[in-house]
Amino acid sequence: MEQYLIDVPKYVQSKPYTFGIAEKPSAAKRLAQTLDVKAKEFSIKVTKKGTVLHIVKGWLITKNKERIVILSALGHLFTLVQDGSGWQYPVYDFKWVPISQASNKLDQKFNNRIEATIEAIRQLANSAEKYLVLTDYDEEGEVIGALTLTQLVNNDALNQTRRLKFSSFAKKEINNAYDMARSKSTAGEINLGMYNRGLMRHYLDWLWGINLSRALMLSLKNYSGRYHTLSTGRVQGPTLSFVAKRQLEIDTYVPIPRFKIQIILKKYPDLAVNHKKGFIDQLNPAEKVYSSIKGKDGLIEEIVKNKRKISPPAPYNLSSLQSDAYRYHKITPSNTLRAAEALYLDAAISYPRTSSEQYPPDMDHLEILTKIGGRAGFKTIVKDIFTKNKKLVPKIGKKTDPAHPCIHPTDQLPTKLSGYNKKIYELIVHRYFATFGKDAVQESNRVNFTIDKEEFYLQGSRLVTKGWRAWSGVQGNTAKTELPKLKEGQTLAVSASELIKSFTQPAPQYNQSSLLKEMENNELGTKATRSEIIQSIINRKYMQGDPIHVTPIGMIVNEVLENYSPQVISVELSRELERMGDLVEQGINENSDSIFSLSDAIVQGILHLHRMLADLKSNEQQMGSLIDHGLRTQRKQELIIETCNVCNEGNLKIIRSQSTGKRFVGCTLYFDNQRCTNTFPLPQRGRLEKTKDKCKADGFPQLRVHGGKKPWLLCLNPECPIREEYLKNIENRKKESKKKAPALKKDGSEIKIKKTRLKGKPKKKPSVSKKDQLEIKIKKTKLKGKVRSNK
Amino acid sequence: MNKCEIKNCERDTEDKFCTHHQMSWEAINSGFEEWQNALGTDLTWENYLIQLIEDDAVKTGDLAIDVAIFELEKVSDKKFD
Ligand SMILES: [Zn+2]
Ligand SMILES: [Zn+2]
Ligand SMILES: [Zn+2]
Repeated sequence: MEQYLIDVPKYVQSKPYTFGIAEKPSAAKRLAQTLDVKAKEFSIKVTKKGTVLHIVKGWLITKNKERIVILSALGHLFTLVQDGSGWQYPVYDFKWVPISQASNKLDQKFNNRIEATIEAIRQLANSAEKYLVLTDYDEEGEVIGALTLTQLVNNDALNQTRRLKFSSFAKKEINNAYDMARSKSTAGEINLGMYNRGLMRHYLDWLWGINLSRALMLSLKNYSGRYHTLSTGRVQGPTLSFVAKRQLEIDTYVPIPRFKIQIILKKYPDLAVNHKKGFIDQLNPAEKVYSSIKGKDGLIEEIVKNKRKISPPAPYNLSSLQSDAYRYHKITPSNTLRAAEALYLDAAISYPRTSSEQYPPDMDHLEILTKIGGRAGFKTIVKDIFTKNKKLVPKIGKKTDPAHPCIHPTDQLPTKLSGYNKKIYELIVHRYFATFGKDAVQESNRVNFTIDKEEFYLQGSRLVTKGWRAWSGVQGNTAKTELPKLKEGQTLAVSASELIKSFTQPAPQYNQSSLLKEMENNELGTKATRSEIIQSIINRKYMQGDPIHVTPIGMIVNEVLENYSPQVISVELSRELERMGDLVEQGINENSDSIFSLSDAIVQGILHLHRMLADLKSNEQQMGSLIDHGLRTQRKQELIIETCNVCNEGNLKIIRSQSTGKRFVGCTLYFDNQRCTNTFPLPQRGRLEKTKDKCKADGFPQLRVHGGKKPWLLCLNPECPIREEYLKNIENRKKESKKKAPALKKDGSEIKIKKTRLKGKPKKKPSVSKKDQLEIKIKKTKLKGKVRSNK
Repeated sequence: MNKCEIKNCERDTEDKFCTHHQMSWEAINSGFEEWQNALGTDLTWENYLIQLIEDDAVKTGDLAIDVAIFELEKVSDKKFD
């Protein structure tokens, strides 16, 4: 430590003082200025061996005569690494080190900043009389606060630590939290249960991640001598498997024909007419129905009206906000969380990582509505709320959260609003308004009519009473169709009718919102981490696009785990570990020695992991072969075709449009400020493969397309004579096959051929694993800074 | 160990097809019965496969198309024998 020179202003160091640790610099600033209007910012110059590492900023405040020095942790300062060396698995020994010491690609400037911050905290925290944790109140915040103190001071520091527990940065809330922290109440203590649960999550995620990723990579290396970065994780594995499973359903899907009678009404050509039976499975009966109604008009038999009350929605929690943001604005869950966090830091809304659908009991709705009503665009609604509600009693939902209320606006307006933040803020405010509303009433109409005894119907609906919908912005819009005025006994003239053949479709691909829902339904991950886990799988290039599809390498990783250690991707194990987390949390909080501890949880976790790793090790050969094959296939489909013929600088690449999902060939410089906009259209179906041969007619690059009767060569040039001719041929063939399509000829011999050919072989299971190949001793894990006894 | 018989697949398998192509093959096999049920038993195996491959309204999965092409080539080869 001698090597550092830490230059702290004298007035900051004068004793006694409390050392406060905040999560981020922006939060430190907001907290300091909220607690003390005269808060003072200061600088600490940290020098190492003569060079300045970084100038660390801090805040000095005085509150009730208590001097508090606040520094921020920049998110995480520490990370887990292997304790020991060697690229092998299993590894069960780990330790915390400063992020700057972990070997990774972080840049030097960032590392210097981390190192300087750590030294500044070490210096100031060790001379402090007591401590105050000011991070966001959740598992992660508890870990950041408590870990920083135990790592840089000692375990005893937690005995002198108080905790500011707040759900928003609004002035009143922060000041109340401070009073609570000053009191003897448990509400002002650090939540050790949460802290230990957070540690458990870090330890297990690290153990899972490093061991399973190494199992994947080493199997490839030992099989082929090649190296390729591969990874999976405790929650990533099961999440990717949902998408991969759905994709396999789609890729192996065979559509089945079905039939529908389509009718166009003369007076109302835009109304959708439905046959009572919906789709008809067989051509024969469909044709019978069709021929019986052809050229005839309808007669209205009955009009059925139904009124239905729709009660106001519950306030938002994170998952319902993410779901609506995607639904109304196509904002991805991770972007929604980011926007909500910015609004929270701006003190405009309460803490977003919550599962609660309930307002805090002491919430001052009058005050908040009045303040929000000051903003143009909300004024009229607020006025309306005040006139229609004598008492301000909002609707609440059933879900709760141990640490926070629902997401709601505060009495502080956001300082500036644009882009996603604006849309998210408006959703939250409108939802808040809606919870004060009365039931909406919707009338649905069904008009039943017959055409020659065949039953058809029209379906429509209209809003009779708007109720809460009038106050809820985009959430109140209904896309329901209103039917024209019709009477029983009236004739409906038909202008055209048609028998339509359509095909069944596979289940839809996941999008980010439906995948998040799936994770939630299966209790995978936590509300706070789900969207980030999806994003991390996308960043690893195992999934992409929206709707999401799995890349070839993502498919392989999933298949390897599914075949050789299905527990890794099982939802059940993930759930069991969450339950273990519950026990750890309760055990600490209920202050009993006999209960499941953090170390018990880690040992249990390692036992599970050990079994999975043994399975993988004994199948290393097959795994390596599968991965090697997957990588070779992926390379064949490699996206880059050749240097761009227009700019001669970028590369021509197969690109899938994020918005339409369509693929085309484009220049990579398009993504560099649209410097080159060269594109070529592509057929949307069939697998594409690179070829070396150039087109004989015009020298343009060619792609091989798999998906016709035979693979064919596609010249990129849309005006190529060869390409034109080929496409014409396809068209002709299609027309011919359509003529043959309903194939009404007797052709029994062909069917016989089919039957002899189609005898499937039973599937065989992968070879039995030899678990005894692996010998591992579970060493006592070093869990530094983990549990402190509760006395 | 054999290789999957589908062109360009090359996956190791102890059967004729790799697992995914086997799944597709089973879907195509049972699909034929459903197509015949829908359209009538006059529908030939060959015509069924052609529609799976070439009709744009039929959104056959990519792996199922591989198998349909494989099966169709067998039928065509037989005809020229
Ligand atoms: Zn270019
Ligand atoms: Zn050409
Ligand atoms: Zn195959």
